Amino acid sequence: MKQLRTTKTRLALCLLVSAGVTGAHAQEERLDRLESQLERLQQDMRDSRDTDFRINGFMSTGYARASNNAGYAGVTEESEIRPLTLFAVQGTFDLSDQTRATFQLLSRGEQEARDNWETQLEWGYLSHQMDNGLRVRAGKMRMPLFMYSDSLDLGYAQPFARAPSAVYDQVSLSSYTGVDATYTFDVLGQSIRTQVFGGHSQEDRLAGQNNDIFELELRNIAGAVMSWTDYTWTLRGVAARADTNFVPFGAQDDDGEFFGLGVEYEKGNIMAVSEVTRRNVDGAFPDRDGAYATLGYRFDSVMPYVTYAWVETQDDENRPVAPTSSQASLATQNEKREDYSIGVRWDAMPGIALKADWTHSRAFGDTSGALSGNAASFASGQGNRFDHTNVYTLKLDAAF
Amino acid sequence: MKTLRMIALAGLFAAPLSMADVVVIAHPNGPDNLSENDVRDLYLNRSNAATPFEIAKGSDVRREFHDWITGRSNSQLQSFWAEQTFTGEGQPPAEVSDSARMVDEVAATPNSVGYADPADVDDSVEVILTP
Repeated sequence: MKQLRTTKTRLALCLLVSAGVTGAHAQEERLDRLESQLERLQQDMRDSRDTDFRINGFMSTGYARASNNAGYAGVTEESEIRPLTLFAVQGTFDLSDQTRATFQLLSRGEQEARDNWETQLEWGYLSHQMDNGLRVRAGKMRMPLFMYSDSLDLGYAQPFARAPSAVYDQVSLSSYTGVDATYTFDVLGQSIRTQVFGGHSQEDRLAGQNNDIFELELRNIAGAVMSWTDYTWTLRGVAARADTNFVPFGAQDDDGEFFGLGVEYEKGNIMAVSEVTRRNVDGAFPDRDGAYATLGYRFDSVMPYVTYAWVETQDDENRPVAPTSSQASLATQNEKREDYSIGVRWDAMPGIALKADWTHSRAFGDTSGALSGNAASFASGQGNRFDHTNVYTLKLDAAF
Repeated sequence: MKTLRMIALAGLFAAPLSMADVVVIAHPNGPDNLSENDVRDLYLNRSNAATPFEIAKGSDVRREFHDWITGRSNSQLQSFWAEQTFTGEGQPPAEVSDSARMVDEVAATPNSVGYADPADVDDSVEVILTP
């Protein structure tokens, strides 16, 4: 704008010099005209910014390998790149000041029970902000079970290279189709955000010794989230339920419940986040408790972090280890593990973060750790092939 | 070449040391009576009460402002806005290139808020908060 002002002055000078004979009055008129033209131009520049359609994207890629074939998070001695690679495009249409439509298309290199690079609609919803502050949304959205649920695929918004599986594998269906309503109360300079949601979710999963495809379905999902923040501390609580269907566990509209508590601290150079979650499902579907705590310290654009995570199934008696019975393979879903991670995030340039992570997993107790590499020997009563594993990850996350 | 490199290096080290003053400014017709918390809410997508503007990254004035009001670094802000954008919660404030342009932009946009080096502030805008 300063430039425009200078231009104005220069124009005025030129006019003054060249005008010579013409009266001062005519010059002034001319200047006024030019000035109003400039003003219109500036206004146009501002308006063009407020477009009705915006497009954003993000991507991740990386490299992972493990010290053995235990199969923690699907990682083995064979190094892998494709499962860590994804690309997403998101578009937002403003239908009015209060109503907008959002979609997100995501293509992942490799995903359970899907074709490689299959593109999927991750989000697709209509959102309306009412005058009384209530926001309602309908369509396909993320189930808000965890603190990082909303940015599950958006590695750039997460501090760690891998979201701790002890918690983030608790409910493997990440999206649902339905409705939600959100309202933020401001109490004494602090805000309490309340969200209720309901709907339906269904995806294919691989299960059994032959890796057959089965449908995992959650019907009549209903849940509520409350979160409070003073910008330094954030506390979050969530409760949800659903009728659970999954043939390999013999689950037919079995009652499923989920509870989660989360706390986050962010001040100055210190970042800390912790979540505790519980999944309870009737019958043989494992009841699973998981928790993690991450502590990070920022040295400008470099943040080293450490994570401790713990997971344990609580109803192992429903899946006894009995090599002769047909229940044998279910016992491999008994799970106990402790994970220790050390890693670093480097914000290399605006919109790009590089991460490195070493995760050590151990303490499987009398379970297989639910690791694929242990499944065969464990199911046949010969115990575990692996009593620990190390997973090394390099990751590049970008948002644009 | 060597001298050039030295100068460039000196510049790199000098930049973070130079402290800029900053004040919060608003359009002359309001908003006014904003507290530091109100301004923080505007810049962290918790309030739609006014239109905030940012100065582009790399500006000392911007760094000073965020040290004072939001306590967030550029990289923290960047991942915060990535999360907000991709969850459909909102878009980051529009950016202007420097402190002088911030004054012009706020003066020209009703119900807007910005921040600037006091040396750039004239009577086209109102200073509503000082550190």
